[in-house]
Amino acid sequence: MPTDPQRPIPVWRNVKTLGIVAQVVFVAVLLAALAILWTNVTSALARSDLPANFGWLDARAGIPISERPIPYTADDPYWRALVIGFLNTLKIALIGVVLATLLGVAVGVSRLSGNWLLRQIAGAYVELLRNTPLAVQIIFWYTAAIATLPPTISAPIRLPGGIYFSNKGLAFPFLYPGFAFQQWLPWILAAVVLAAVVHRLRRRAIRASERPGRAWPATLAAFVLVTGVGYVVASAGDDRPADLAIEFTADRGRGLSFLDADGDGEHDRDEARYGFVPVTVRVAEGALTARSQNLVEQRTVKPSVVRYAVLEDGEYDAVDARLLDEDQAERFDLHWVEKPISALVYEDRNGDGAWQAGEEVDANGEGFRNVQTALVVEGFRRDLVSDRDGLIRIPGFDPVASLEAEDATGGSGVGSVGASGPVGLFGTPGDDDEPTLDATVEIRPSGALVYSTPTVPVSNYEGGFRFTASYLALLLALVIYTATFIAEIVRAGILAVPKGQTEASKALGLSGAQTFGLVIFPQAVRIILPPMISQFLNLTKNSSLAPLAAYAEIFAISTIVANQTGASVPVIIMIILSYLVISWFFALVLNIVNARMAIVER
Amino acid sequence: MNLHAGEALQAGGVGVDLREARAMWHAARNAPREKEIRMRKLVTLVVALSVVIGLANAQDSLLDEIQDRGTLVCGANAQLPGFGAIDSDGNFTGFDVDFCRAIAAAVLGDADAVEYRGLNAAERFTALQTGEIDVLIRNTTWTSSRDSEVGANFAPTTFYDGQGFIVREASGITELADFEGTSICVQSGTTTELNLADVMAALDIEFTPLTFESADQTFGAYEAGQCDSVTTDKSGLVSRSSLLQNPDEHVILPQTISKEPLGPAVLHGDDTWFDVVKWVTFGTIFAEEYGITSDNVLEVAANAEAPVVRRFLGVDGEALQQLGLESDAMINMIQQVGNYGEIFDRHLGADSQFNLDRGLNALYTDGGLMYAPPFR
Amino acid sequence: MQMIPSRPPPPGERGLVAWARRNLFSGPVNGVTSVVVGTLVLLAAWNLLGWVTGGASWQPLWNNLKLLAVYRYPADLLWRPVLAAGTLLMLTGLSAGLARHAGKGRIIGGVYWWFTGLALALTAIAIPFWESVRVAWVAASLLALGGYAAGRLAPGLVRIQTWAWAVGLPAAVVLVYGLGGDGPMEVVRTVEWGGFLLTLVLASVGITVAFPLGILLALGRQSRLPAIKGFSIGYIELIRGAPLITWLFIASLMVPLLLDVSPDSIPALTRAMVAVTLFASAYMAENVRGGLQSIPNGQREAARALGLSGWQTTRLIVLPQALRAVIPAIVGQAIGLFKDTSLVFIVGLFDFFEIGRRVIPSQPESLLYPGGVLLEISLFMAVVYWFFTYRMSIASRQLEKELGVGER
Repeated sequence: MPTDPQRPIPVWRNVKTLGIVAQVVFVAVLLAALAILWTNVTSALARSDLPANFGWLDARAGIPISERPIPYTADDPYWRALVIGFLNTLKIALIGVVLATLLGVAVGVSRLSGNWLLRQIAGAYVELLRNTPLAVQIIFWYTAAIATLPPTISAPIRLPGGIYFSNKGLAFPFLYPGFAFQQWLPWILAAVVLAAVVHRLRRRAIRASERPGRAWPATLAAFVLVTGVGYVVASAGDDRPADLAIEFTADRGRGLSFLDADGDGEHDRDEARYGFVPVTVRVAEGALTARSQNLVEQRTVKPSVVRYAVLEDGEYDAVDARLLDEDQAERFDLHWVEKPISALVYEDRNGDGAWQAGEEVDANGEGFRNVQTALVVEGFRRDLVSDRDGLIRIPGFDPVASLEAEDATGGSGVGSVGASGPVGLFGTPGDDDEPTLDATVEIRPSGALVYSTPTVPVSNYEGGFRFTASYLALLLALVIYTATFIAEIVRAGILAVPKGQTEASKALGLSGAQTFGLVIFPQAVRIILPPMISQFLNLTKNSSLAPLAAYAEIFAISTIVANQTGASVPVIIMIILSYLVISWFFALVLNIVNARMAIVER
Repeated sequence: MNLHAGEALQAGGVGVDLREARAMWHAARNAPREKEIRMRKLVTLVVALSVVIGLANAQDSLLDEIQDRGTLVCGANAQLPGFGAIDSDGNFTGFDVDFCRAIAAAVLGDADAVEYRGLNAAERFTALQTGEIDVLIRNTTWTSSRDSEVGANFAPTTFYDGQGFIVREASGITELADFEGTSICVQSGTTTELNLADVMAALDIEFTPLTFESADQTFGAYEAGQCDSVTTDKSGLVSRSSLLQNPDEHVILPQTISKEPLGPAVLHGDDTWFDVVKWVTFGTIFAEEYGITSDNVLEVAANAEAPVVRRFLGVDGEALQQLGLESDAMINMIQQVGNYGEIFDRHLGADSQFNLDRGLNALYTDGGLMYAPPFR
Repeated sequence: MQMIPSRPPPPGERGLVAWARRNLFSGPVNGVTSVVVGTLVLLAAWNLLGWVTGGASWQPLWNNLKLLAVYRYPADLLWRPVLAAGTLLMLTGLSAGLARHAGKGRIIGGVYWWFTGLALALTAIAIPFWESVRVAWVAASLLALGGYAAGRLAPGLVRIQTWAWAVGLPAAVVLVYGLGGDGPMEVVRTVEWGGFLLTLVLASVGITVAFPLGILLALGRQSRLPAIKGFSIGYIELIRGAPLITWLFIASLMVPLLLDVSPDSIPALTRAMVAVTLFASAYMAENVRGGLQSIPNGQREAARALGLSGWQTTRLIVLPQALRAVIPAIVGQAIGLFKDTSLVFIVGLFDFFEIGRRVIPSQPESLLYPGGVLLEISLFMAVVYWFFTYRMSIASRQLEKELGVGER
């Protein structure tokens, strides 16, 4: 339909005009709709008593959170709780992204492997787990983890190197900044600068020599050398703060390292806590009491089990377990399952002086409950490092002299419920003239770094670095689920590299591995990277399913805060902004990646 | 967020075809850089959209609406055996649920004219605020901030409770100081969680809180040995402890660390509806005090001489009509659901597996706190 | 890494041993890998099998199958959803049969037999065990098989195929929802819906309504008009920026307000549907945009050269091609949405996942098993979700091939 370019187009048929009119109408309708909603909201908010501003952010939160990357107590304000939520989201997202990439690439490559079995299994893994909702997987992993792993209070799985694993989570030794850490920092800075310079020079030299070579060994050597020398130099002096003190309450098995400003040896509210102090705690003689029970653990019932605190070899001179009640001592004996951590109470029916299978239950197959035992530990000593908040904890020893007293009081305070109503607000305080425990604490020297190993003093991990079971289950589910998508991306990316590339590199005499590593994979990465980054974003967004695994990230904490303050509207705005910030971050990364790829293109 | 040419590769998790991927390889080679997103517009939109998120408009009175609608929407617990749970036929049942039924019987004449919403602790007030439910009867503690900040009105307490702890007998924990260094499981988004933090801070006890979104998870973690104790209302502890493996291995500590009066809640600003919920609840207590049960209510209504009972049952006077109810409202309620004592016994007391003592929840005449003002 | 398939074997090199040598033990690395991986997988499979047959407690699951399937849907009306399923299978069967007759229909046939197999299996279980739905399941199976037989035997039915779907789909909806009155067709209010029924309803409504919205948004995003383009981009990126769970949370507060009506007149189901639909439409828009971008500019130019207007070009030339190209992506999105509906617990709906996760484990009977029954139930849920999504993802891949996406 040829139009005469000379003839002016009538206004009502001018595409430009129509476009402007359409937009004006569209914007007008949009604004009208927003205006209606606006009035609805303002009138609703005005009618209600609910907070519509952010004033509550400074109020005391009172929410207990166990997973906290920064110091936090229930007395801290709401904003701090929300910050912790955001940090926890980052904590799961960042590690999740790294692990999902590793697993995804491995599986994706396995799907193209020459090994038939590997190929099939990788395929089955992808097909099975990609087609199941993440929510179900989180529930499954979480339930499986807490139901099938042993709890810390019994015998956690202890791996070599001081690693503990149980349904409380994973704890492993970790290095923390010690007294001389600040003296060491300048050295690290210098090392980074030097390494950069070396790297530059080396690269230039390699380029000049026109021979293949690698720059990183020299760079690394320079870095290690300087930091190493720095470490030795910095750690040489005693940099312990002059007013560092330890307050230790033996009957609670708890201590605190802090800066004792007024020198009275007691921690006052305004005195700063001082974390990561290496100490040695000694208890000359103490008793750990425990009663036998029929434990339901790992989905089975374990009869007549006695569990003491977890003591490692070399932490004590001698241990001696005995039954406290005379009648019970006559009837029962103790059999060590793992000395001195767990034992069985048994009735030596055949009189051979040793436990035989079946002797831990009575004729009806019932276990023996409530047999009172004590483990007397002599010469207990443990090297500890106080945690970030300065806390030190050892097992809850009782003075050996108090064992007789305990005999007299007999059973526990078994409460009946509902009948009597409140029984005092906090119960009755203990007796004042009880025998006391002979315990000493001594500060050990530390270099620029301290090596903190985990322990299980009561029923939690203390020291070292810890991941909770919730975190691990969520991480596992997110990684396994996201990796299926990444695997598919990787596989498609590799397959998308034209076959000619392979043939050409083979023709040049490259081996299979070389072909893959030097020719195929670098090209595939360009196709793989962009969709992979959107998978990273998906993983981050999916971490909002955390409440299913009892992990406190931003969504979980926000809903609790909204529930407590009633400030639903402000909280929702904050949730969305948090996720948008993360999304924009990934978008930025994606744009940078796209840009770099575009530059590389020829 | 710019899209790249290969986005479809991962969309929704469809298998990626070789040819498509190869096409994308070429596309990626030739793709021009896309324009950057206009963030300002996005921000404007976020603000605009966020602002519209708000709260419900107030209605005239819910009572008229409920009577027009013919059903009562009741927020209940779906996972606290004894108070509110769903059986395998899909029916809600429990102590709290019976108060939903009582209100429905009084307002609509039919105790079954209830739609239940199973709510968790975190979403219950949202449901109330948005008007999704007419009344919230879900073991909810009456506190000042819930009156003021959350905007709830609490009808009389149906169950006086207090927060306690359950521990393994063998753990040797007998007083709160023994919780030093242990972990305690608690349900998130509840007053229980806040009480726990407060009390332990006051006593200077360092413990690890493990918070869970549901009661199942909380007790599941306790049973698996993840924590040394669970803290919640003692009623909840009792109802759950009877269902633990080896219930006699667990003890509930005698200490009570809080007052937890549980009762029905409605939204602020609708006094007519609030009055109805309040007086129906009182009605169940009143009926027990005067010995009116589901068996004898018709007989009592026919023969009663005491003016106070006649007024209560709507035989004389306008007490019930003034509340906006029919004159046979209380008769329906008691006949179909029963008085307070019957409700208690059926779900928590002697007739149930929990066999809970009345304690504070006995009538004031028996030394408890249950006391109904006169119907006049 | 060996990526290139081995050369075809010389004649005579056949049999299991040769196959194993070729595929499992072609080198020392491969051999070790095979042994290690094989042992691990066998061990895992053996443990799982042992637990499933020995250690697990399946009784609570068996008792609660009705709850998982339909939640509080009245027991005496259960035949209605069963027949609705039968109707859908019949329609699929009809189409499959007709396609088969025409020598095509590998894809729809595969889907049909997969789900008909499930229906037959359920019928076999229903006959001895589920008295209330025994007849209904038999009828549903007959419908399903009948549909296929009709399609195979009467190719003339191809004329009414569209009509059959047009009548059958609403009929299925009416069967589930009801017509009114107090009789067998009484209305079952959506608050009584739940379980797997709800999961299916949410996913299908979400994807159906999101489709036109997504097209509009995608066209909006390509628009030359800055206001419309800006709005589309803003909407799409805002929605995609935050996870579905937050939108569900927001919808539970916001929808009554947006519509300015009494909040309790909007059931939780509607709110969830609004959130799911708005969420899905943003992703749908991006899928459609992918299709739009894949259409070469020459198509547009040719259309304009033929004198088609801008709107005609879009409607008649660009969209049909673009949509055809993105069918697999849309199926993929439907699968994703089906999985994502597990998040509606946040608005208080009792979908399949929520019943399995919270309702069943808190029944007193379930608590009597050591360690609870959540592990068993989550495994069961995983299998059910997988059964539905896996077949659809295969279909999507087959579609991709058949449509020749990426072959341009």
